[in-house]
Amino acid sequence: MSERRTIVRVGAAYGPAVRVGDLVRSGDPMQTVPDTDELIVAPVSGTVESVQFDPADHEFVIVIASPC
Amino acid sequence: MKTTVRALLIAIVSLSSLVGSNLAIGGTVFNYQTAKTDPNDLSFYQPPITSEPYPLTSAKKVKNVIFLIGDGMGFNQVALAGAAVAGPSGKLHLERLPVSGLMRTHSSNSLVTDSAAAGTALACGVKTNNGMIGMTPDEKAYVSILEGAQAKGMATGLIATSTISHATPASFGSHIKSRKLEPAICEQLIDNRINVLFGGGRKFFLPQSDPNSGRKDDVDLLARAKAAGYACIQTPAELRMADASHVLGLFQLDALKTREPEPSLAAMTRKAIRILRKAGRQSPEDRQGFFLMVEGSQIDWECHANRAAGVIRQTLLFDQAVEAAVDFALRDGNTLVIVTADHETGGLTLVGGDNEDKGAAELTVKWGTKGHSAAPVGIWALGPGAARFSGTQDNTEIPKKIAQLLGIRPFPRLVR
Repeated sequence: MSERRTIVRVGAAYGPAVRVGDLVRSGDPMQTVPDTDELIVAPVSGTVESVQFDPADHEFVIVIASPC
Repeated sequence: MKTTVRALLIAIVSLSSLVGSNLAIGGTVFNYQTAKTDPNDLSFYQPPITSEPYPLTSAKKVKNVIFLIGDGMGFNQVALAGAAVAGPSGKLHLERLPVSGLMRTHSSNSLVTDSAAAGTALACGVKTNNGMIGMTPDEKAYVSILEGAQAKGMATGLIATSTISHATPASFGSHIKSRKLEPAICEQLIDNRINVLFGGGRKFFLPQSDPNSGRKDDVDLLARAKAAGYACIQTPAELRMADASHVLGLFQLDALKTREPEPSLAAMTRKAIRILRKAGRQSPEDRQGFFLMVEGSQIDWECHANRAAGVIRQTLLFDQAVEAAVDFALRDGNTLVIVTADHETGGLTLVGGDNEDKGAAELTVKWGTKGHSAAPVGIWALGPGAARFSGTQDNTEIPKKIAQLLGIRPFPRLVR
């Protein structure tokens, strides 16, 4: 079964709300920003394959793998 | 068995308290002894031979200011690096500065700041929203302490181990709505005629026709810089030879790798001081002194990755720059050195330490988050006026105090 990968980028000032191996559903929070109502959610359902810090953009790059 | 390890650090990555209870504890182990034989070798660093504080000064006039910022460097990052190389009783150079205090770091829109809002507070003396550079949330641009010093006739400089247009250096030399607009930030840095710009990020100075460009336009900023009188350099040899009053040193296309053959942060700091000292003497007002900001940018990055070994290394590289600044300040007598952080990153805590075998320390390193925290950070100072930085203060107070000492008035003030 093939998989597609979806990349979600979230600012690094706040930690991501997921870690590698988490199962997420579309709409689940990927990051909650304190003191605001801002919420970054998963655009697709799947498994979090990687969470990497990108220093150039000061963001976390979250990769979600989902079945095609 | 008697251990010869000065510090055995066990890093347990704990992602529990600040990012949600759904995150279980994972674990990695870092052994400082093995780290000494791999690329994380810390033998480049010489800890102080004494833990005695550097002397207080009786001088009253502040001529030069060297402002060093460890990005993400909370108290425990300092303690961790100190324990690793100097044992539990030892100190880093920055801890030997004779005056110390606490600094709060919240931004306009969050208790947890980012480097843009924190940099703006430290540079301009005003709070702003995370992500904004050199302006308040309503987009009113405020003069930075560097710009205030420059207007007074002082020579100025910025050094970072990130791209030179990253949030912290950008806050001292530009005004823009978003930290992400690095190509535009670079244009402002050059147009502001800051004497010394050392760091990474050459890609933002190249037109899009260059395969290495990070721009989406045809602006050739290196050409613009040369036309404005900058000597543009990119190697350690060129750094050693640089003798102009304006020097743009971009040693990588992206951020610095903080490894040879690049110049170290300390080497860049020493060279910048020499250039700025000379440029300050050549100013129309003669002998107006200089303002230099030095950032250890990558402490934050290692904290985001929850890598204890990297935190130690980057903190020590930063501490070498502090030593270079202090070395000059003690000889000069009229130089104020301020060391602080923009915020803490990682929610780092040190627990479970045994202190056996005369200095061997065993510490358990725990991380509370992969993001920043709201923890207060330390501030250390040396030189004339240093006493003003003791006690607990807000980050916006720091440039206001520097402005008072340098006679920059009014401050804060709007950019005209």
